[in-house]
Amino acid sequence: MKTLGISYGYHDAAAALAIDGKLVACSQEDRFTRQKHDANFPRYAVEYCLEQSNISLSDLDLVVYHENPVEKFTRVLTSSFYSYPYSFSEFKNSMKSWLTQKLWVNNRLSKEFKVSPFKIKNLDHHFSHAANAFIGSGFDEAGIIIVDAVGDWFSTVIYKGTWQEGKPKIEAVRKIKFPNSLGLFYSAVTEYLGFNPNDQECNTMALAAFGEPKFYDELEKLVTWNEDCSYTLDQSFFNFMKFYDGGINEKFIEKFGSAAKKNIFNNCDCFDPNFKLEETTKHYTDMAASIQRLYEKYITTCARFILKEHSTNICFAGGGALNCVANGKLAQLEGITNLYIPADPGDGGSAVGAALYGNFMAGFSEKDVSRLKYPVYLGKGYDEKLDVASLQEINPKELKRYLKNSKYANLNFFKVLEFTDSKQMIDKVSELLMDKNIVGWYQGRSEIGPRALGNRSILIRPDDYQLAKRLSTKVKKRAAFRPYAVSVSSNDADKLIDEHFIKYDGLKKMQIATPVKDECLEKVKACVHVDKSTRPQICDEKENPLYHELLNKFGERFGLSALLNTSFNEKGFPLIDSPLLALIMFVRTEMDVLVLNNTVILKE
Amino acid sequence: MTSLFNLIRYLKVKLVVNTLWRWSPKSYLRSISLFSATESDTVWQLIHAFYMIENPKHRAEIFTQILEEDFHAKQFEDLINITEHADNYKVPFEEKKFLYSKEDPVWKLLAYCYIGEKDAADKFKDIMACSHNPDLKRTLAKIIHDETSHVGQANSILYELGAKPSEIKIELWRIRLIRKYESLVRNTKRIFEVIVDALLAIIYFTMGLLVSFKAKSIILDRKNS
Ligand SMILES: [Fe+2]
Ligand SMILES: [Fe+2]
Ligand SMILES: [Fe+2]
Repeated sequence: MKTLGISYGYHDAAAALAIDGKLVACSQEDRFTRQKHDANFPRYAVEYCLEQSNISLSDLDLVVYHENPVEKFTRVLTSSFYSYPYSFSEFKNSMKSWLTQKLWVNNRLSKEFKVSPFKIKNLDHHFSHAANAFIGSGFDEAGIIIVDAVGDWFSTVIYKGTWQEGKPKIEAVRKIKFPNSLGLFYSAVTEYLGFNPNDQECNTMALAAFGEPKFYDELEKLVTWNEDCSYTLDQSFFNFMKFYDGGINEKFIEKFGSAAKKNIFNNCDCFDPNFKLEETTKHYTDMAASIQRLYEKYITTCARFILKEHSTNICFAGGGALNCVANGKLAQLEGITNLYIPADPGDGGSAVGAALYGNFMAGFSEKDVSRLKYPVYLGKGYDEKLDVASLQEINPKELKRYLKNSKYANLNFFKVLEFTDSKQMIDKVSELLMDKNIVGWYQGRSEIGPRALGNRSILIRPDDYQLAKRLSTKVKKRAAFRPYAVSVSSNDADKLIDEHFIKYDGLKKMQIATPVKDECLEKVKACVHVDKSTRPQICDEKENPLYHELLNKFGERFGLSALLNTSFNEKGFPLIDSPLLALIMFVRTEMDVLVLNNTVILKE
Repeated sequence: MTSLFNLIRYLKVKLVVNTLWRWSPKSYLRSISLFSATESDTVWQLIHAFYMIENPKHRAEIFTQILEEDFHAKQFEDLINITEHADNYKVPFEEKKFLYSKEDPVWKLLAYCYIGEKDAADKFKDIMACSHNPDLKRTLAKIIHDETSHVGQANSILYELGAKPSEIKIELWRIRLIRKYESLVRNTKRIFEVIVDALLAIIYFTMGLLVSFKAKSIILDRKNS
């Protein structure tokens, strides 16, 4: 059975292809279009999925779209009339895009893919997330938590997943409907802190560590919740129906003070242990800490409910599962046997859920459910030879304008080292890492989801604040309040992290924030947040042999097989896809070394 | 004939820069965002061209041009980012589609870029002549300098890639016609949109009151999850 899963229309458009229960290819559209969180029809992601597995559109048994356009339309229409007569612009713009495009998604899919409309199926948005989480977990049964801003009509749904005759049975046990949405609440506070909602929630999470949850009690008064996970939000503080006015309204501002101005968080520096916050900044970091605490409390309430009523296995997905600090709280709960978060828990991953579930809709069944787990390296891979050849034709003088204020202002040439043996290449790269170089590390097929897991990564040694600062300012252009993550070889994981956490699959994918053992703090200080936690990726040989070897080789020199690992992308862009994009970032930033598969490029 | 076109274009730019942009900072920011998006789109088309060409020397030329176009996009973006809530003014991402497929000769794609470069350079020169905004003028001066050299560069690669001059001429005219047609479609769409807006306003304000009661009851009912 071959089924294609598609998600697009809101953010993170993606395509995924599953063949007989096996996810074979998946990509977000933004990797190809370079438009971060691109929501448009995933033309090139589909093209890639088909090319990768060598099949054509006519081979597809089903195409499954990740949500139900009619259901969603009723929600959009209802909310646009709610604030009548003050919501004309919401109504007008929604109707223009819905009546001309979004409502006719199935027609478009049928036309684009030249397949009969009967072969196009729809799932509920949260159900797609749940299918991704449950089928990919390989669990026999589980409780599934799905939290995001809003899907068709729901914002939070708890499911129970079981298997019957080789097919997944995913049933909702609790549904929380829009406009009650903790996801939207979190985004609204993100906006209050001066960041882009639906994109920079990770900033709020990072800032939380600088503050104290002083406003927790006040914020909690805006939510009424019960032990059974149901909740309602006091809508008088929010604008969820009139979204052009922003998520929060005047009443919220009256209660919590005016929203943050741009760039006020410059003093929050995780590379400066003696950071001092001004009073005004502190107000906002305290707000961040408060909403973070509130969110954690809700997620753990959901987990407790599941543990008590349904299962000790928990799957978690939806944009809310990107909050690795909350995931860390889940991992510390007593009674959890397993916790699974898919590689892409967000809307890109709902295409994966649609593709996998589509296999079963088309008649596939599987007795051994552990076979359904899928790897993360399912994106596109490229050969780098021609790209490197063209680099050697470039006159470095032409690059002067980008490198004016950098240590490469007098760049003379690029030195290219081609290795036939990956062992020698790794030896050289580990030496360069020891010598405090910033290394762009590009290998094989890309990772699915937002985390760089050793195939599209930027690496440095983990113990150097100054180097990390140079990485933030001269390469990534990233705010200093955002901490970096650490990759550690499975051989050394227990030196860095408590045994209790290591069992979780989420630690292979940088999904769970954990405390760092005291004895290792100094060794990895550049990847530790101000609360002494980190977001580790434990790399084992089976998952990524090359990266595992690099970590070990570096460990021989450094004394701990760990590297600071951040995503290979520039500010405002998605994770890079092709070697050309890696080269572009390499030549115009202060990145010192670029490794493209077995080719190592240095700036001289 | 060409100079008449140029004059009309200049007057149009003058009208926009001196009246529309002055009255409505929002429309100024939208235009700048659109320029940025156009530069980014050129980058994207050029990335495609890069992979269609095999000659490393030509690839290197495309590579440096990609860097420059991306730099332009960033320069325009910086002009917007100095305002509060800059993201509200940015145009949403367009759906991408390559202009030419892998089967097409690559010189056609470069010819398209050549016309795009030329149009952009001309338009920016006109804006530069009319504008009194020092930030914008500074940005444009740098960009115009690059674009002028891109026009020359694109022209020479075009011939080096082995296309016949007559073929190139025909293709350039074809592209010009397509672009004219596209701008006609865009303008018609804009007029059409005004009509659609008016119709939606009638629907909203006449039926809205009734529907809003229903909407409120649905939402309030759904509040109890
Ligand atoms: Fe979602
Ligand atoms: Fe340009
Ligand atoms: Fe140009």
